[in-house]
Amino acid sequence: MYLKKNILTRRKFFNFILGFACVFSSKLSFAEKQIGSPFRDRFQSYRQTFRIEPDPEEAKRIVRNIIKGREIREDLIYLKAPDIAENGNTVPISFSVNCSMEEQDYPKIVHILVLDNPFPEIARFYFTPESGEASVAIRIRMRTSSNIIAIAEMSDGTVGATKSFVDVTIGACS
Amino acid sequence: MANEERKNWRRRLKVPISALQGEIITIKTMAEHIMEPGVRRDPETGVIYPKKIIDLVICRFNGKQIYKSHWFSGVSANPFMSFKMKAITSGLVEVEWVDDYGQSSYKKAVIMVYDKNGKKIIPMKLDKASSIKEVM
Repeated sequence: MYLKKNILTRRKFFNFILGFACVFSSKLSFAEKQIGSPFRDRFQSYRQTFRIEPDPEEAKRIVRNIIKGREIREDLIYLKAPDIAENGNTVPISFSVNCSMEEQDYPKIVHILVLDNPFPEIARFYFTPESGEASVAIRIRMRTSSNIIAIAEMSDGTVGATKSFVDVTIGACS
Repeated sequence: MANEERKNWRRRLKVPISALQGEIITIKTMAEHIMEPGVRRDPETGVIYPKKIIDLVICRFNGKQIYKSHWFSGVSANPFMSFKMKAITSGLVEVEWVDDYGQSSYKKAVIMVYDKNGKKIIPMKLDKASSIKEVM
């Protein structure tokens, strides 16, 4: 008997190729968003474990995705970091946001990024009006001497950012 | 080994005992944790140590979340963090640390807030007849 089902016709063949093309193009279009977005995707931890070389392009992409083309306000956030850090394992930094902590005027999220680290994002801080002042001190790791960037996203949609350069003598492994 | 495991669970929280109303107080937190970034290799065998970090730190005051922070592998080992809070009523401050593996640990402290006249401000209202009033 002649089975027609198992035969690969020309129509089936072209459909197969077209479907593949569709899937690939969609993945490529989403890829740029996935890598640069500050939120972790499923493979972030995998990439972090095996990619040891820092990628400055990705840091720039993350900063661009946070700011999203908005105007950067000046004198909004103050970052305090040492000029020279002897040990890269513990670099004490602190920041404070210059605002009245009311419903319309408080920082929703503050990001801290070190550009030359292999995984540039370090911490995110979420504030509420109940926390009377948006100022935090924390200790971070730095691999090489590089810029620290602090970005504050306010509740009314404006953005403020500062950066300061830190010279590291003995780098950390991070 | 048991000692190392215990080390990863030690937490510290420093909150002032008393404060005036409307004062902004600082809360200091410290967790003893290795914060393995997942990049380090064993020098002899070359095996990568698996990543183990504290992901999330939450601060609650009287059960309401007032502050939260997400951490990634860039935070140093034995992470120290200090932040501010506005003292309005006296109550319970709870800080919770959540691990990469979902293990959570918390520490709590009590703060008493006084008026200008030296009167305690307590969030709950008590009846006159209740005997709890004598205790407070």
